[in-house]
Amino acid sequence: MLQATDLTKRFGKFTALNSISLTVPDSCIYGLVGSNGAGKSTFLRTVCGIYRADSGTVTFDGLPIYDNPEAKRQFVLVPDDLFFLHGATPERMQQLYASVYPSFDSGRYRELLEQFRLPAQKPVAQFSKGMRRLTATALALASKPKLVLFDETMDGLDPIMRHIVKSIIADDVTSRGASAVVVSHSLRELEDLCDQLALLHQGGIVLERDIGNLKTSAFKIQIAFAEPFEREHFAMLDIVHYQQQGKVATLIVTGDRNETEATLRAMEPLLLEVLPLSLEEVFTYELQARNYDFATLIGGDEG
Amino acid sequence: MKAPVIDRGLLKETMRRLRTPALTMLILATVFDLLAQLVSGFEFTAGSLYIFHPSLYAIPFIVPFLLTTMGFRFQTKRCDSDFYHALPFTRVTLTATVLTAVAAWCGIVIVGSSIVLSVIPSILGKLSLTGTLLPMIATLFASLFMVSLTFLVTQLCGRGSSIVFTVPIFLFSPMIIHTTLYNLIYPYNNLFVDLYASRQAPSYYNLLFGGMEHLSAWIWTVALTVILLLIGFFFAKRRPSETAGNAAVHPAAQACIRVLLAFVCCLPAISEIVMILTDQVLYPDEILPIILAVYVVALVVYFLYELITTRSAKALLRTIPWLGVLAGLNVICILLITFLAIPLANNYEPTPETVDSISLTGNVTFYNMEDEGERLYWESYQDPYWVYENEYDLPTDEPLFDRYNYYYGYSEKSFYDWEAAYGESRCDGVRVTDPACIQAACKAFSTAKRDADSNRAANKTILRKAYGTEWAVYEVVMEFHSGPFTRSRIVFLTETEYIALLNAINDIRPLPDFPFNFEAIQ
Repeated sequence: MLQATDLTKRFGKFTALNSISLTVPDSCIYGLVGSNGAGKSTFLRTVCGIYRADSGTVTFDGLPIYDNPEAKRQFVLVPDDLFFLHGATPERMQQLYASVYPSFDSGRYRELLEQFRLPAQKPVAQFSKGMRRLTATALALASKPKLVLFDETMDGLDPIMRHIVKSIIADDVTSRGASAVVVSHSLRELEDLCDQLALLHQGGIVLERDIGNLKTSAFKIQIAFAEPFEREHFAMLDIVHYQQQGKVATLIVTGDRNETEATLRAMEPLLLEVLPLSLEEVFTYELQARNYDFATLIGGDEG
Repeated sequence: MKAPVIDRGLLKETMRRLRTPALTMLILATVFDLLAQLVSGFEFTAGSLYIFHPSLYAIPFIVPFLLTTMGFRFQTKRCDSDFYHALPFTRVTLTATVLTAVAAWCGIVIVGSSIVLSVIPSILGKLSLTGTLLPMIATLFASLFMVSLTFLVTQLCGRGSSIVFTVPIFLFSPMIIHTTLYNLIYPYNNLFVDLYASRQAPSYYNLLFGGMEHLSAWIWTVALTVILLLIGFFFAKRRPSETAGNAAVHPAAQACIRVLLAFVCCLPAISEIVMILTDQVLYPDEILPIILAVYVVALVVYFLYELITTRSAKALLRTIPWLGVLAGLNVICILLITFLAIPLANNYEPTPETVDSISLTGNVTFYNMEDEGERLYWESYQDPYWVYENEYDLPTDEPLFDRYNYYYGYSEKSFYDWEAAYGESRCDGVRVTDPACIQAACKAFSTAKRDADSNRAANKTILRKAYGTEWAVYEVVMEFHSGPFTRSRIVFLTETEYIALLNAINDIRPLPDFPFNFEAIQ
């Protein structure tokens, strides 16, 4: 289990991480989303022991991480800015990883190279951006750590390869009981993959949710009545967001879906539709309740 | 479980990573010197390994610098630095392992090339085991020193250009500063001795600059290597990974390096100013433009260094406050030399009560007096006839005095002729505590100093002076030892005093009986 408590990291006068506390349990895929400069990569690097925190603690299974090989042996980072030895091939990189990670599985590595369709003897410098990311991913997964950290790893991958990588990560977590932290600036990227998700903004966590619970506990309702009505008509419901145009209202509601539906049908509406929410919508409305603008927090492209 | 200091897997990996550049340098050095041997037709005079492997002079400067820089190259690029610091090692392990690989490859280059290049000379009987091993080990120690220095620089700097500039700055600055400032004091009094005679030349304290024959060089080299390694590890442990790619890991480090470089450039100006203040310049007005030009050059170097290493014109503005430090250093240096160092050196006068022992360095010149009993001014010396005529013959029935003269005689030949070198080696380190010898030496120095001071006061040109009622006078470089301090001064001894001193030395370290093998002592 990874645990960060009041983690703070500064670069000169700039505070990159501001008292962050979060927990990544075992067998969990944890998503970390935020705009550029939110502190996502800084968080990963502090967790990996690359940066020394200015205050607070970060531990893995109770062990402090910084300058602690015993803890650091448990996880591998796939950074956004990749490193490969000069002139190295995937085969050569395997030698490096095998020499520093005792649990490195060469057989697994070869399987992944085949799955990702990567040539083992070709210099990585000649790979495309996506192929380089896949090589780094294969190296990380073949090291069989308890925790793998992915920093914008899906960036540069085609949709098919993204799907494959996500499946492999999910399988890895399931089969080995490992955990993963996946960082992205795209919620859509993480929607299908993560169990938990945190939104980072200006070095602090704005929102943290269990995705499974989030998506089942909140839903969208479109309802219309013949007579005029107002929001107070729905006072019995737990409304996150309410929007009305004429005789049609759109509500985001939390609570039991069946009960809510039954309550509304009893009102004999002209139109009643219960729709699932996307993660983006959930976050948008949650943050609005906190006076944040979701677009500002995420920023960038969502593609 | 405590982490090992050196990780085998990482060591293997680093050795592999440095293999290509190391082997390239090994092959180049070996082939180059082998070709030199071939071209010479294998006609060698007997000597040390340096004769057959001249690259040994260059190897400790180049190989360790390149390998250490390459070994720690990951600290000059952010993604590389992040990768290595994410690996499951402590920073000490990471650092120590890379250093071990670097040192191992340095050893392989030195030993490998030395073995190959010593084969033919050994077969031809021109190279002994000692002549092979001693230079090899000296080169290895010198290389380790260079590794430690480069390592320290890599922990202070985060960019390749910074490292390339800073290593020579750190390597040569102390020597340049010391030599320059020493040479400000040395000409002030004709009884002072130069750097070599006072055993303060670089070869006396660093095997990198020769000095294999000086024990002090071995001791200092090892000590400096250890100190630099410890300081390097101190910084390595604390070095933030995020400073990779910066000119220096801290603005203060960058400033110190910059100021040091500029200070070295200021030394010619400092020298001229000191000489003006100590009345050693006839026309100071003519020197002032030179001083100004030197300071302008120093300023240009100051800003240029910052521009090249940071690649930022904006950074130049931040360097301006540190010019105050540079100016302050100049002022302090000038004042210390002019009003403290020179007077202290000039006023030094040993007494039998304060001197524990005396020793000779082997530098001896003697004057053949034309008129006995008179004081004469000599501007030159005269060779002892028996040294010149008996250049390579063994004196078989000469008394002790003459045997020492044979070995100590200063001839027109190189100071490092084997005769003088042998004499020097017999004297070297022998400390005479005989009270009569000490008293004679102190008295002789006081007399000469009095004359030198009065000459200067009378604005007379300072000449070397010979005294004596005996037919010959010996000008020696005498070391006066008082506690941990040693001061070297020129002393004029009469023949009687000189013989007494030689006898005292002989009591401690006698000359071998004749005949003996001259070649064996080389």
